[in-house]
Amino acid sequence: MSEADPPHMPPSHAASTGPLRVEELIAFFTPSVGEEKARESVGGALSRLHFAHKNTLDRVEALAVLDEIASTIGIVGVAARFAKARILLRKF
Amino acid sequence: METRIATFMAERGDVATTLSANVKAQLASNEPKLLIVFASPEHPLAPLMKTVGSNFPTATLLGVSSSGEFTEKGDRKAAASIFALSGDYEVVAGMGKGLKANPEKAVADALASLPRTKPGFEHCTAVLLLDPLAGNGEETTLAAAALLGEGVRLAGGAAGDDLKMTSTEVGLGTEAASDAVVIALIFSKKQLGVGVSHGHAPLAKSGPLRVTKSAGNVVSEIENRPAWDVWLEKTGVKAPAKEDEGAFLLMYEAGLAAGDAYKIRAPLSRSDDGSINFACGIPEGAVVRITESTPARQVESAREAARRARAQLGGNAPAGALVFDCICRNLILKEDFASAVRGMSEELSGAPLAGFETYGEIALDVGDMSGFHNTTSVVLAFPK
Repeated sequence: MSEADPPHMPPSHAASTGPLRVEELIAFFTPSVGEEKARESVGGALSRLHFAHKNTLDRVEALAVLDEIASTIGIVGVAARFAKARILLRKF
Repeated sequence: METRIATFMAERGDVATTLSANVKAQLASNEPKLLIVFASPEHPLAPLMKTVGSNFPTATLLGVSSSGEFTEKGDRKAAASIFALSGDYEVVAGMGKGLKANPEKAVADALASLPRTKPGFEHCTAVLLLDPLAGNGEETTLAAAALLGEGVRLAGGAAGDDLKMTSTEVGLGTEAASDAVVIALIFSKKQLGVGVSHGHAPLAKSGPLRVTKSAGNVVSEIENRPAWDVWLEKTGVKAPAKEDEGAFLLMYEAGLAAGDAYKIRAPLSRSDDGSINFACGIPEGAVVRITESTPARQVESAREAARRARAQLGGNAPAGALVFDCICRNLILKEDFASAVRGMSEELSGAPLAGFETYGEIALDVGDMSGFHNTTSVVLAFPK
């Protein structure tokens, strides 16, 4: 890992069509809570919604995952609401 | 109309009048659209802003308490500095309170009465100033980004208090407040430049450390031990005197793995139970690494932030810059901190700049997923 720069994730509009990869969803959380917690949070929501087998999500599924995480108290919930605001602007 | 930027710093006497007089002298007949004062707690913010505001009744005036102040001419402690902007800009601002209890509501309140567009001004950049002792810098920044939309870039900083870690303030107009956020929207005809860079890396002897007990911004246990004990053990530093704990923590900040880099999180203080209070939320289950930096990396990363800001000016020469710089750079560089400020100014062709030593920095570009930083320099550059 380089130490020189804070993370800049790919612009969300750079992949603004088609289904959302789970990895893209995780990337919304990574800068705020770190990779490990991001994976734990998204993975937990995927399991609870019975999406654990999916690698990609359509718009409704992605928003459902974010809604599931958004009820978490604190930074994880705030990051989910931020991600939801960004996802709503995307074209699927 | 060409952008003109005035900066000045004062330490003694009637600081507010001195700052105001120098802005008037530098801008001549040009009315400032935006003024920001950066003030050590030695110069209480509200009365300072009241005097400056009375001298510039048509300008949008922001203020923030600080832990060190600087302009392109040098840096000071226990001083106040000012940044003034004139030219083709429109600036509006709002304040939200109750930041600790509900950051999203505070941000919504700050933005509630502000227009989101200005006819004739294609670009909008938001400047955020917030109270870091509310403990939710990232939450506040993400809330602002969500409400403002993806087209608005953010820059700003978290207030300081000369490392006392007891009370930090932000101000708008003649009002200064703790537990608050101030958001200014700068509408411009040309794009502004936002650059950010840090120079921290994990300590060699700090492997990944899991946060095993936390609530909000308070990390109680790491690897099932008191967080403070872990910090002392991994850094190998003898327990500092109480008054030096803030400086110690800001020398050794937490890094969250994030792709090809580390996102740095600032520990600000410790409580008697051994918990550590951060500038934003750290959830249970997060994995951190304790980081450090070197003087050379601190100087270079400051230059890099200025270069990145300049690169976004679309070929326009820089007229000047606002700089939000982590107090850790000052702690690491000590008397050589001026070289970092000089470096930033040199990267901007010697343009005037003013800023303060922060407890957190804000920079969120289009497409970014996070906007609250620590250990960084954030440079907001204005084109001529």
